[in-house]
Amino acid sequence: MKLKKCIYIVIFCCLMPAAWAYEPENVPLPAAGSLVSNPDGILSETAVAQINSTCLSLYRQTDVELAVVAIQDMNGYDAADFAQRLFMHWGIGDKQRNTGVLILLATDSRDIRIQTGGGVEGLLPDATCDQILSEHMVPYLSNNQWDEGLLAGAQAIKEVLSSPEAQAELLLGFTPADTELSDAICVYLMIACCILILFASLLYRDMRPRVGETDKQRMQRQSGTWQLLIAASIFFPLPVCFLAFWFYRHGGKAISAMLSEAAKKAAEEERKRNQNDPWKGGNNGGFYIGGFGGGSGRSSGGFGGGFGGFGGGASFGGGAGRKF
Amino acid sequence: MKKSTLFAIIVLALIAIIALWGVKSYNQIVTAEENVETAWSQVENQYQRRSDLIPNLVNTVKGYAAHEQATLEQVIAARAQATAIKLDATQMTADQIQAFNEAQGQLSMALGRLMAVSEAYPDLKANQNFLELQAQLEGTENRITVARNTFNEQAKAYNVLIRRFPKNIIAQMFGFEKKPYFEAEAGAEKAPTVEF
Repeated sequence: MKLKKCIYIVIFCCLMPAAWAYEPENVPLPAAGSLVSNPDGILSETAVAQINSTCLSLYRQTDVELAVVAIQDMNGYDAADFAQRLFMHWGIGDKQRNTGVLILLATDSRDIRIQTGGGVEGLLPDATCDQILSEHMVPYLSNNQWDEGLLAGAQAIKEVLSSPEAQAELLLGFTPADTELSDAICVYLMIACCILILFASLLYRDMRPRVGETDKQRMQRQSGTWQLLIAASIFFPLPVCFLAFWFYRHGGKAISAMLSEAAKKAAEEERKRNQNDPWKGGNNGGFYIGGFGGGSGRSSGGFGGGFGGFGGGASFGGGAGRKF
Repeated sequence: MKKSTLFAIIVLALIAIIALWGVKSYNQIVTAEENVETAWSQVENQYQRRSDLIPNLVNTVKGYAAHEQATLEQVIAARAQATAIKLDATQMTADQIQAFNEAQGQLSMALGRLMAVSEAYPDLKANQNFLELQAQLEGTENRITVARNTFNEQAKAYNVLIRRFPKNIIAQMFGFEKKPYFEAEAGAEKAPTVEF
Protein backbone atom coordinates (compact mmCIF):
# COMPACT_ATOMS: atom_id res chain seq x y z
CA MET A 1 0.00 0.00 0.00
CA LYS A 2 2.74 2.37 1.00
CA LEU A 3 4.69 1.72 -2.20
CA LYS A 4 1.59 2.41 -4.27
CA LYS A 5 1.14 5.72 -2.49
CA CYS A 6 4.74 6.63 -3.24
CA ILE A 7 4.28 5.84 -6.91
CA TYR A 8 1.17 8.00 -7.03
CA ILE A 9 3.08 10.85 -5.44
CA VAL A 10 5.91 10.47 -7.92
CA ILE A 11 3.48 10.44 -10.85
CA PHE A 12 1.66 13.44 -9.42
CA CYS A 13 4.93 15.33 -9.08
CA CYS A 14 5.84 14.53 -12.69
CA LEU A 15 2.51 15.81 -13.94
CA MET A 16 2.63 18.99 -11.93
CA PRO A 17 3.61 21.99 -14.01
CA ALA A 18 7.20 22.30 -12.89
CA ALA A 19 8.30 25.82 -12.07
CA TRP A 20 11.13 26.51 -14.46
CA ALA A 21 14.25 28.42 -13.54
CA TYR A 22 14.28 30.83 -16.45
CA GLU A 23 17.12 32.32 -18.39
CA PRO A 24 16.25 35.70 -19.94
CA GLU A 25 16.40 34.09 -23.37
CA ASN A 26 13.91 31.32 -22.73
CA VAL A 27 11.04 33.07 -21.00
CA PRO A 28 7.99 32.10 -23.10
CA LEU A 29 6.66 34.90 -25.27
CA PRO A 30 3.12 36.07 -24.56
CA ALA A 31 0.42 34.32 -26.57
CA ALA A 32 -0.47 35.87 -29.93
CA GLY A 33 -2.23 39.20 -29.53
CA SER A 34 -1.25 39.44 -25.88
CA LEU A 35 1.39 41.32 -23.92
CA VAL A 36 1.29 39.29 -20.73
CA SER A 37 3.53 36.28 -20.15
CA ASN A 38 2.42 34.16 -17.22
CA PRO A 39 4.06 30.78 -17.77
CA ASP A 40 4.05 29.64 -14.14
CA GLY A 41 0.40 30.48 -13.58
CA ILE A 42 1.18 33.09 -10.96
CA LEU A 43 -1.58 35.40 -12.15
CA SER A 44 -5.21 34.34 -12.40
CA GLU A 45 -6.84 34.22 -15.81
CA THR A 46 -9.10 37.17 -15.11
CA ALA A 47 -6.11 39.22 -13.98
CA VAL A 48 -4.21 38.32 -17.17
CA ALA A 49 -7.19 39.45 -19.24
CA GLN A 50 -7.52 42.70 -17.29
CA ILE A 51 -3.82 43.51 -17.46
CA ASN A 52 -3.74 42.65 -21.12
CA SER A 53 -6.64 44.92 -21.96
CA THR A 54 -4.88 47.74 -20.07
CA CYS A 55 -1.72 47.11 -22.11
CA LEU A 56 -3.62 46.92 -25.38
CA SER A 57 -5.51 50.14 -24.82
CA LEU A 58 -2.21 51.85 -23.97
CA TYR A 59 -0.74 50.39 -27.15
CA ARG A 60 -3.59 51.71 -29.29
CA GLN A 61 -3.43 55.16 -27.77
CA THR A 62 0.29 55.71 -27.70
CA ASP A 63 2.01 52.87 -29.61
CA VAL A 64 3.87 52.01 -26.39
CA GLU A 65 4.38 48.29 -25.88
CA LEU A 66 3.94 47.48 -22.19
CA ALA A 67 4.91 43.87 -21.53
CA VAL A 68 4.13 42.17 -18.23
CA VAL A 69 6.01 39.07 -17.15
CA ALA A 70 5.37 37.06 -14.00
CA ILE A 71 7.70 34.15 -13.28
CA GLN A 72 8.84 32.31 -10.19
CA ASP A 73 12.55 31.86 -10.55
CA MET A 74 15.16 34.02 -12.30
CA ASN A 75 17.88 31.43 -11.84
CA GLY A 76 19.94 33.64 -9.59
CA TYR A 77 20.07 36.64 -11.95
CA ASP A 78 20.07 40.17 -10.69
CA ALA A 79 16.63 41.63 -11.50
CA ALA A 80 18.05 44.60 -13.42
CA ASP A 81 20.26 42.35 -15.51
CA PHE A 82 17.49 39.83 -16.17
CA ALA A 83 15.00 42.54 -17.14
CA GLN A 84 17.51 44.24 -19.43
CA ARG A 85 18.37 41.03 -21.24
CA LEU A 86 14.76 39.97 -21.56
CA PHE A 87 13.86 43.43 -22.85
CA MET A 88 16.55 43.29 -25.52
CA HIS A 89 15.82 39.68 -26.40
CA TRP A 90 12.18 40.37 -27.07
CA GLY A 91 12.80 43.81 -28.50
CA ILE A 92 9.94 45.48 -26.66
CA GLY A 93 8.79 48.73 -28.25
CA ASP A 94 9.05 50.39 -31.61
CA LYS A 95 12.42 49.89 -33.25
CA GLN A 96 13.10 53.53 -34.09
CA ARG A 97 11.74 55.16 -30.97
CA ASN A 98 12.32 52.43 -28.36
CA THR A 99 8.90 52.94 -26.83
CA GLY A 100 8.66 49.85 -24.68
CA VAL A 101 8.14 49.14 -20.98
CA LEU A 102 8.59 45.84 -19.15
CA ILE A 103 7.16 44.93 -15.76
CA LEU A 104 8.96 41.91 -14.39
CA LEU A 105 7.86 40.00 -11.29
CA ALA A 106 9.90 37.14 -9.84
CA THR A 107 8.11 35.62 -6.88
CA ASP A 108 10.87 33.39 -5.49
CA SER A 109 13.44 36.12 -5.06
CA ARG A 110 10.64 38.63 -4.37
CA ASP A 111 11.81 41.05 -7.04
CA ILE A 112 9.71 43.55 -8.92
CA ARG A 113 11.17 45.70 -11.65
CA ILE A 114 9.94 48.26 -14.17
CA GLN A 115 12.34 48.44 -17.10
CA THR A 116 11.92 51.38 -19.46
CA GLY A 117 12.87 51.63 -23.11
CA GLY A 118 15.00 54.52 -24.32
CA GLY A 119 12.02 56.42 -25.75
CA VAL A 120 9.90 56.52 -22.59
CA GLU A 121 12.67 57.38 -20.14
CA GLY A 122 11.67 61.03 -20.34
CA LEU A 123 8.08 60.34 -19.33
CA LEU A 124 8.91 57.54 -16.92
CA PRO A 125 12.13 58.59 -15.22
CA ASP A 126 13.59 56.22 -12.68
CA ALA A 127 12.21 58.20 -9.77
CA THR A 128 8.67 57.94 -11.21
CA CYS A 129 9.09 54.20 -11.69
CA ASP A 130 10.29 53.90 -8.13
CA GLN A 131 7.29 55.87 -6.95
CA ILE A 132 4.90 53.65 -8.90
CA LEU A 133 6.54 50.63 -7.34
CA SER A 134 6.37 51.86 -3.80
CA GLU A 135 2.92 53.47 -3.97
CA HIS A 136 0.94 51.15 -6.24
CA MET A 137 2.61 47.79 -6.37
CA VAL A 138 4.68 46.90 -3.32
CA PRO A 139 1.75 47.26 -0.86
CA TYR A 140 -0.06 44.46 -2.73
CA LEU A 141 2.97 42.40 -3.61
CA SER A 142 4.27 42.22 -0.06
CA ASN A 143 0.96 40.49 0.79
CA ASN A 144 1.44 38.08 -2.15
CA GLN A 145 -1.47 39.71 -4.01
CA TRP A 146 0.16 39.31 -7.42
CA ASP A 147 -2.97 40.01 -9.49
CA GLU A 148 -3.78 43.28 -7.80
CA GLY A 149 -0.15 44.44 -7.67
CA LEU A 150 0.60 43.97 -11.34
CA LEU A 151 -2.75 45.34 -12.50
CA ALA A 152 -2.26 48.45 -10.37
CA GLY A 153 1.24 48.85 -11.78
CA ALA A 154 0.09 48.53 -15.38
CA GLN A 155 -2.71 51.01 -14.78
CA ALA A 156 -0.37 53.49 -13.11
CA ILE A 157 2.03 53.33 -16.05
CA LYS A 158 -0.85 53.71 -18.47
CA GLU A 159 -2.04 56.75 -16.61
CA VAL A 160 1.38 58.40 -16.83
CA LEU A 161 1.85 57.63 -20.51
CA SER A 162 -1.63 58.37 -21.81
CA SER A 163 -2.03 61.96 -20.64
CA PRO A 164 -2.51 64.22 -23.67
CA GLU A 165 0.95 65.81 -23.37
CA ALA A 166 2.57 62.42 -22.99
CA GLN A 167 0.75 61.13 -26.07
CA ALA A 168 1.89 64.12 -28.07
CA GLU A 169 5.47 63.43 -27.05
CA LEU A 170 5.28 59.72 -27.74
CA LEU A 171 3.77 60.09 -31.19
CA LEU A 172 6.14 62.88 -32.18
CA GLY A 173 8.59 60.58 -33.93
CA PHE A 174 5.97 58.33 -35.46
CA THR A 175 6.85 58.60 -39.12
CA PRO A 176 6.71 55.98 -41.83
CA ALA A 177 9.97 54.23 -42.63
CA ASP A 178 12.29 56.29 -44.79
CA THR A 179 12.37 55.51 -48.50
CA GLU A 180 15.93 56.52 -49.29
CA LEU A 181 17.74 54.62 -51.99
CA SER A 182 20.15 52.24 -50.39
CA ASP A 183 23.88 52.21 -51.12
CA ALA A 184 23.50 49.00 -53.08
CA ILE A 185 21.14 50.59 -55.55
CA CYS A 186 23.41 53.59 -56.01
CA VAL A 187 26.39 51.36 -56.79
CA TYR A 188 24.23 49.31 -59.11
CA LEU A 189 23.05 52.41 -60.92
CA MET A 190 26.62 53.63 -61.35
CA ILE A 191 27.75 50.36 -62.84
CA ALA A 192 24.63 50.09 -64.96
CA CYS A 193 25.36 53.51 -66.46
CA CYS A 194 28.87 52.39 -67.44
CA ILE A 195 27.47 49.24 -69.00
CA LEU A 196 24.85 51.25 -70.82
CA ILE A 197 27.47 53.49 -72.37
CA LEU A 198 29.63 50.51 -73.29
CA PHE A 199 26.79 48.72 -75.02
CA ALA A 200 25.49 51.80 -76.70
CA SER A 201 28.87 52.21 -78.40
CA LEU A 202 29.06 48.53 -79.25
CA LEU A 203 25.61 48.50 -80.75
CA TYR A 204 26.23 51.67 -82.64
CA ARG A 205 29.29 50.10 -84.25
CA ASP A 206 27.77 46.73 -85.02
CA MET A 207 24.17 47.33 -85.82
CA ARG A 208 24.45 49.72 -88.73
CA PRO A 209 23.91 47.83 -91.96
CA ARG A 210 26.95 47.94 -94.22
CA VAL A 211 26.80 48.70 -97.88
CA GLY A 212 26.38 45.63 -100.13
CA GLU A 213 25.73 43.22 -97.33
CA THR A 214 23.00 40.56 -97.32
CA ASP A 215 20.72 40.09 -94.34
CA LYS A 216 22.33 36.74 -93.60
CA GLN A 217 25.83 38.17 -93.57
CA ARG A 218 24.79 40.94 -91.26
CA MET A 219 23.08 38.58 -88.85
CA GLN A 220 26.23 36.51 -88.68
CA ARG A 221 28.30 39.56 -88.01
CA GLN A 222 25.94 40.69 -85.30
CA SER A 223 25.46 37.39 -83.51
CA GLY A 224 28.46 37.95 -81.18
CA THR A 225 27.05 41.27 -80.07
CA TRP A 226 23.70 39.69 -79.38
CA GLN A 227 25.26 37.05 -77.20
CA LEU A 228 27.09 39.72 -75.24
CA LEU A 229 23.86 41.64 -74.89
CA ILE A 230 21.95 38.66 -73.59
CA ALA A 231 24.70 37.83 -71.11
CA ALA A 232 24.73 41.41 -69.92
CA SER A 233 20.98 41.41 -69.60
CA ILE A 234 21.33 38.71 -66.98
CA PHE A 235 23.42 41.03 -64.80
CA PHE A 236 21.95 44.36 -65.76
CA PRO A 237 18.48 43.83 -67.15
CA LEU A 238 17.18 47.35 -66.97
CA PRO A 239 19.69 49.27 -69.10
CA VAL A 240 19.73 46.46 -71.64
CA CYS A 241 15.97 46.44 -71.78
CA PHE A 242 16.05 50.15 -72.33
CA LEU A 243 18.52 49.76 -75.18
CA ALA A 244 16.58 46.90 -76.67
CA PHE A 245 13.41 48.93 -76.49
CA TRP A 246 15.10 51.91 -78.04
CA PHE A 247 16.39 49.87 -80.94
CA TYR A 248 13.07 48.20 -81.35
CA ARG A 249 11.45 51.59 -81.84
CA HIS A 250 14.18 53.27 -83.83
CA GLY A 251 16.26 50.49 -85.40
CA GLY A 252 15.91 49.17 -88.94
CA LYS A 253 13.10 46.83 -89.82
CA ALA A 254 15.51 44.05 -90.68
CA ILE A 255 16.69 43.60 -87.15
CA SER A 256 13.33 44.11 -85.53
CA ALA A 257 12.47 40.41 -85.60
CA MET A 258 15.63 39.45 -83.77
CA LEU A 259 15.27 42.39 -81.45
CA SER A 260 11.76 41.54 -80.48
CA GLU A 261 12.94 38.11 -79.49
CA ALA A 262 15.75 39.55 -77.42
CA ALA A 263 13.41 42.07 -75.90
CA LYS A 264 11.03 39.29 -75.00
CA LYS A 265 13.86 37.43 -73.32
CA ALA A 266 15.04 40.49 -71.46
CA ALA A 267 11.52 41.36 -70.45
CA GLU A 268 11.05 37.86 -69.11
CA GLU A 269 14.31 38.26 -67.24
CA GLU A 270 13.19 41.52 -65.82
CA ARG A 271 9.81 40.23 -64.85
CA LYS A 272 11.52 37.51 -62.84
CA ARG A 273 13.81 40.05 -61.19
CA ASN A 274 10.91 42.30 -60.39
CA GLN A 275 9.50 39.75 -58.04
CA ASN A 276 12.08 40.88 -55.54
CA ASP A 277 13.12 44.02 -57.22
CA PRO A 278 15.33 46.50 -55.36
CA TRP A 279 13.55 49.31 -57.19
CA LYS A 280 10.18 48.55 -55.81
CA GLY A 281 10.88 46.56 -52.69
CA GLY A 282 11.25 49.50 -50.29
CA ASN A 283 13.00 48.45 -47.09
CA ASN A 284 13.48 44.81 -47.83
CA GLY A 285 15.47 45.17 -51.02
CA GLY A 286 17.18 42.11 -52.28
CA PHE A 287 20.13 42.61 -54.56
CA TYR A 288 21.38 39.99 -56.82
CA ILE A 289 25.14 40.28 -57.01
CA GLY A 290 27.10 39.79 -53.83
CA GLY A 291 23.88 39.83 -51.87
CA PHE A 292 23.62 43.04 -49.89
CA GLY A 293 21.67 41.92 -46.86
CA GLY A 294 18.35 43.70 -46.77
CA GLY A 295 16.79 45.59 -43.88
CA SER A 296 13.99 44.44 -41.71
CA GLY A 297 10.31 45.07 -41.47
CA ARG A 298 8.35 45.83 -38.37
CA SER A 299 5.20 43.81 -38.32
CA SER A 300 3.20 46.91 -37.81
CA GLY A 301 0.38 46.26 -35.45
CA GLY A 302 -0.54 49.85 -36.24
CA PHE A 303 -3.24 51.83 -34.56
CA GLY A 304 -6.62 50.46 -33.81
CA GLY A 305 -5.65 46.90 -34.61
CA GLY A 306 -4.61 44.09 -32.32
CA PHE A 307 -1.10 43.55 -31.10
CA GLY A 308 1.14 42.04 -33.75
CA GLY A 309 4.30 41.19 -31.84
CA PHE A 310 7.12 43.22 -30.36
CA GLY A 311 8.71 45.79 -32.64
CA GLY A 312 12.41 45.44 -31.78
CA GLY A 313 12.88 48.32 -29.32
CA ALA A 314 15.83 48.72 -26.98
CA SER A 315 16.31 49.67 -23.36
CA PHE A 316 19.40 51.42 -22.09
CA GLY A 317 18.98 50.15 -18.57
CA GLY A 318 16.45 52.67 -17.29
CA GLY A 319 13.79 51.89 -14.73
CA ALA A 320 13.60 50.94 -11.10
CA GLY A 321 13.51 47.78 -9.10
CA ARG A 322 12.56 46.80 -5.54
CA LYS A 323 12.62 43.86 -3.25
CA PHE A 324 9.34 43.49 -1.45
CA MET B 1 30.19 32.48 -78.79
CA LYS B 2 33.53 34.04 -79.69
CA LYS B 3 36.36 33.43 -77.26
CA SER B 4 37.21 37.07 -76.85
CA THR B 5 33.61 37.93 -76.08
CA LEU B 6 33.44 35.25 -73.43
CA PHE B 7 36.66 36.50 -71.91
CA ALA B 8 35.35 40.05 -71.87
CA ILE B 9 32.18 38.95 -70.10
CA ILE B 10 34.08 37.02 -67.46
CA VAL B 11 36.49 39.87 -66.78
CA LEU B 12 33.63 42.34 -66.62
CA ALA B 13 31.66 40.19 -64.23
CA LEU B 14 34.69 39.57 -62.03
CA ILE B 15 35.51 43.26 -61.84
CA ALA B 16 31.91 44.05 -60.99
CA ILE B 17 31.81 41.42 -58.26
CA ILE B 18 35.14 42.45 -56.71
CA ALA B 19 34.20 46.12 -56.80
CA LEU B 20 30.86 45.41 -55.18
CA TRP B 21 32.48 43.24 -52.52
CA GLY B 22 35.05 45.95 -51.77
CA VAL B 23 32.41 48.65 -51.46
CA LYS B 24 30.27 46.43 -49.29
CA SER B 25 33.15 45.48 -46.98
CA TYR B 26 34.32 49.05 -46.63
CA ASN B 27 30.83 50.22 -45.76
CA GLN B 28 30.43 47.41 -43.29
CA ILE B 29 33.62 48.40 -41.48
CA VAL B 30 32.63 52.07 -41.45
CA THR B 31 29.24 51.17 -39.99
CA ALA B 32 30.88 48.98 -37.33
CA GLU B 33 33.29 51.77 -36.41
CA GLU B 34 30.42 54.23 -36.25
CA ASN B 35 28.61 51.84 -33.91
CA VAL B 36 31.62 51.70 -31.60
CA GLU B 37 31.74 55.48 -31.49
CA THR B 38 28.03 55.74 -30.77
CA ALA B 39 28.36 53.14 -28.03
CA TRP B 40 31.24 55.12 -26.53
CA SER B 41 29.28 58.34 -26.51
CA GLN B 42 26.53 56.44 -24.68
CA VAL B 43 29.07 55.39 -22.06
CA GLU B 44 30.21 58.97 -21.62
CA ASN B 45 26.62 60.23 -21.51
CA GLN B 46 25.70 57.85 -18.73
CA TYR B 47 28.76 58.72 -16.67
CA GLN B 48 27.99 62.38 -17.27
CA ARG B 49 24.46 61.78 -16.10
CA ARG B 50 25.82 60.33 -12.90
CA SER B 51 28.15 63.23 -12.24
CA ASP B 52 25.26 65.63 -12.92
CA LEU B 53 23.32 63.99 -10.11
CA ILE B 54 26.11 64.40 -7.59
CA PRO B 55 25.92 68.12 -6.63
CA ASN B 56 22.24 67.73 -5.84
CA LEU B 57 22.88 64.57 -3.88
CA VAL B 58 25.73 66.10 -1.92
CA ASN B 59 23.62 69.14 -1.02
CA THR B 60 20.74 66.99 0.15
CA VAL B 61 22.98 64.82 2.30
CA LYS B 62 24.75 67.86 3.69
CA GLY B 63 21.49 69.21 5.09
CA TYR B 64 20.99 66.10 7.24
CA ALA B 65 24.44 64.74 7.83
CA ALA B 66 26.79 67.64 8.30
CA HIS B 67 29.22 65.41 10.23
CA GLU B 68 30.09 63.46 7.14
CA GLN B 69 32.16 66.27 5.71
CA ALA B 70 35.08 63.95 4.86
CA THR B 71 32.93 61.54 2.86
CA LEU B 72 31.23 64.37 1.00
CA GLU B 73 34.54 65.93 0.11
CA GLN B 74 35.83 62.63 -1.20
CA VAL B 75 32.84 62.39 -3.50
CA ILE B 76 33.38 65.91 -4.80
CA ALA B 77 37.09 65.33 -5.36
CA ALA B 78 36.48 62.03 -7.15
CA ARG B 79 33.87 63.67 -9.33
CA ALA B 80 36.24 66.45 -10.31
CA GLN B 81 38.88 63.91 -11.28
CA ALA B 82 36.50 61.72 -13.22
CA THR B 83 34.96 64.54 -15.25
CA ALA B 84 38.42 65.82 -16.14
CA ILE B 85 39.03 62.79 -18.36
CA LYS B 86 37.42 63.00 -21.77
CA LEU B 87 38.22 60.52 -24.50
CA ASP B 88 37.96 60.80 -28.24
CA ALA B 89 36.32 57.65 -29.51
CA THR B 90 38.01 57.88 -32.91
CA GLN B 91 41.49 57.44 -31.50
CA MET B 92 41.56 56.07 -28.02
CA THR B 93 44.12 53.70 -26.60
CA ALA B 94 43.93 50.93 -24.03
CA ASP B 95 45.81 53.12 -21.54
CA GLN B 96 43.37 55.98 -21.91
CA ILE B 97 40.38 53.76 -21.39
CA GLN B 98 42.11 52.27 -18.35
CA ALA B 99 42.66 55.72 -16.83
CA PHE B 100 39.05 56.67 -17.53
CA ASN B 101 37.86 53.46 -15.94
CA GLU B 102 39.96 53.98 -12.82
CA ALA B 103 38.81 57.56 -12.28
CA GLN B 104 35.17 56.54 -12.65
CA GLY B 105 35.79 53.57 -10.38
CA GLN B 106 37.10 55.91 -7.67
CA LEU B 107 33.91 57.94 -7.98
CA SER B 108 31.79 54.77 -7.73
CA MET B 109 33.55 53.84 -4.52
CA ALA B 110 33.19 57.31 -3.01
CA LEU B 111 29.49 57.26 -3.89
CA GLY B 112 29.10 53.81 -2.41
CA ARG B 113 30.59 55.09 0.83
CA LEU B 114 28.26 58.08 0.83
CA MET B 115 25.19 55.93 0.33
CA ALA B 116 26.31 53.55 3.07
CA VAL B 117 26.91 56.41 5.48
CA SER B 118 23.49 57.90 4.76
CA GLU B 119 21.89 54.70 6.06
CA ALA B 120 22.60 56.01 9.55
CA TYR B 121 20.32 59.05 9.15
CA PRO B 122 16.61 58.15 9.32
CA ASP B 123 15.50 61.71 8.56
CA LEU B 124 17.58 61.74 5.42
CA LYS B 125 16.22 58.38 4.33
CA ALA B 126 12.67 59.66 4.69
CA ASN B 127 13.37 62.75 2.58
CA GLN B 128 11.43 62.64 -0.70
CA ASN B 129 14.16 64.41 -2.60
CA PHE B 130 16.77 61.96 -1.35
CA LEU B 131 14.61 58.98 -2.28
CA GLU B 132 14.23 60.29 -5.80
CA LEU B 133 17.94 60.94 -6.12
CA GLN B 134 18.65 57.47 -4.83
CA ALA B 135 16.34 55.93 -7.44
CA GLN B 136 17.95 58.02 -10.15
CA LEU B 137 21.44 57.10 -9.04
CA GLU B 138 20.54 53.43 -9.02
CA GLY B 139 19.03 53.72 -12.49
CA THR B 140 22.11 55.53 -13.70
CA GLU B 141 24.39 52.79 -12.40
CA ASN B 142 22.29 50.27 -14.31
CA ARG B 143 22.50 52.41 -17.44
CA ILE B 144 26.27 52.63 -17.05
CA THR B 145 26.50 48.86 -16.88
CA VAL B 146 24.35 48.48 -19.98
CA ALA B 147 26.28 51.14 -21.89
CA ARG B 148 29.62 49.57 -20.99
CA ASN B 149 28.44 46.14 -22.05
CA THR B 150 27.11 47.50 -25.33
CA PHE B 151 30.38 49.32 -25.97
CA ASN B 152 32.40 46.18 -25.29
CA GLU B 153 30.21 44.14 -27.61
CA GLN B 154 30.46 46.69 -30.40
CA ALA B 155 34.21 47.07 -30.01
CA LYS B 156 34.70 43.31 -30.07
CA ALA B 157 32.48 42.93 -33.12
CA TYR B 158 34.45 45.67 -34.87
CA ASN B 159 37.80 44.13 -33.94
CA VAL B 160 36.73 40.74 -35.22
CA LEU B 161 35.48 42.32 -38.42
CA ILE B 162 38.71 44.14 -39.25
CA ARG B 163 41.00 41.27 -38.31
CA ARG B 164 39.35 38.40 -40.10
CA PHE B 165 40.45 37.39 -43.58
CA PRO B 166 39.66 38.64 -46.22
CA LYS B 167 38.22 41.87 -44.83
CA ASN B 168 41.52 42.61 -43.06
CA ILE B 169 42.88 43.52 -46.51
CA ILE B 170 40.31 46.27 -46.91
CA ALA B 171 40.82 47.32 -43.27
CA GLN B 172 44.58 47.62 -43.77
CA MET B 173 44.20 49.44 -47.07
CA PHE B 174 42.11 52.15 -45.41
CA GLY B 175 43.94 52.14 -42.06
CA PHE B 176 41.21 50.91 -39.71
CA GLU B 177 42.69 50.15 -36.29
CA LYS B 178 41.80 47.92 -33.40
CA LYS B 179 39.66 49.47 -30.63
CA PRO B 180 40.34 48.99 -26.93
CA TYR B 181 37.59 47.98 -24.58
CA PHE B 182 36.85 47.79 -20.84
CA GLU B 183 38.59 45.04 -18.96
CA ALA B 184 36.31 43.25 -16.54
CA GLU B 185 38.39 43.36 -13.34
CA ALA B 186 38.64 47.15 -13.19
CA GLY B 187 37.59 48.97 -10.02
CA ALA B 188 34.19 50.14 -11.19
CA GLU B 189 32.85 46.61 -11.45
CA LYS B 190 33.70 45.62 -7.90
CA ALA B 191 31.20 46.40 -5.20
CA PRO B 192 32.75 49.07 -3.00
CA THR B 193 33.91 47.80 0.36
CA VAL B 194 32.63 49.92 3.19
CA GLU B 195 34.48 50.48 6.39
CA PHE B 196 33.02 52.24 9.40
